[in-house]
Amino acid sequence: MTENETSKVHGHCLCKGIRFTMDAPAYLNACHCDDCRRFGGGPFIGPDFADLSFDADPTLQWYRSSDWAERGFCSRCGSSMFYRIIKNPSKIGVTIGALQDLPNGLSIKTEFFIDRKPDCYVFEGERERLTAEQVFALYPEDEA
Amino acid sequence: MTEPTSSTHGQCHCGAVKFEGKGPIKGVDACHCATCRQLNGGPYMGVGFHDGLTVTHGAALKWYDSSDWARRGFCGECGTSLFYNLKGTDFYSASSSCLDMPSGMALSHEYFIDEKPDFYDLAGEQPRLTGAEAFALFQKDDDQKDNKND
Repeated sequence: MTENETSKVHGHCLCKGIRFTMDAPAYLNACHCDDCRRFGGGPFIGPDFADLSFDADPTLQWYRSSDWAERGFCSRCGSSMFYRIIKNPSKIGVTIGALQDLPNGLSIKTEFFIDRKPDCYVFEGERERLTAEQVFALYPEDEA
Repeated sequence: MTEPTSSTHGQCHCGAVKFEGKGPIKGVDACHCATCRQLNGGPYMGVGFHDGLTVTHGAALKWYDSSDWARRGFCGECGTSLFYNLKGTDFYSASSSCLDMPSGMALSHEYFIDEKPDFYDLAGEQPRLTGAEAFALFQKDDDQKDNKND
């Protein structure tokens, strides 16, 4: 492979009912908002929105979690996997747990909704940490 | 009579699954195991209920056998990851994000620290157990419970 060629990573849910491929991410983000933490049982960690190519999705189910967004999960094993903005459904945010062959050296670049994080955990390290107000200012059309 | 009975209400995002966790909440446990991360999308933050929990609205609750010894509960309507249950026991862990949590809860333990990826670390001085140490601890707890019931 040449340096210019983008490497791919594979992803799947726990039962492998849902399988997909995407470009290898360069970095990760974390989200502490109530919806992310409730959907996934902890803070959401994942790459930026990306184009996913689905190899199998018979058990994929979408749920409208807010006026502007949907969450995707496996209806058989319950893996909480995807987030997408309804206005731009082709770009999908995927949780890191689903990705199988990640490149080394990934780190979390930004933490979103830091003011919604409960006190019981803190991610070590120094990075950009945005409040809900800052996130909505960055994405004014409810694209947070 | 030792402690007064207490319970904590919890529910999924859409409200189709509602439950009451039995007994007091002592803290939040994090699990970094590959299965928790795969199901939850990140480290799992759960609250253990050793005396079980009561599902009050459960039509949408689905269970998945994630290993020979454990199963996971989630809402079939909204996909919320809700429960971990040791099969055949009253031990349930419920996602802390689904519970009406009392304030001031701290992280009690981190489990499967040897399966944690490098790209995050949780701050604090809580005990951090490897998978082997976690299994040994749970086995010990089981033995003690068995002895108590003898």
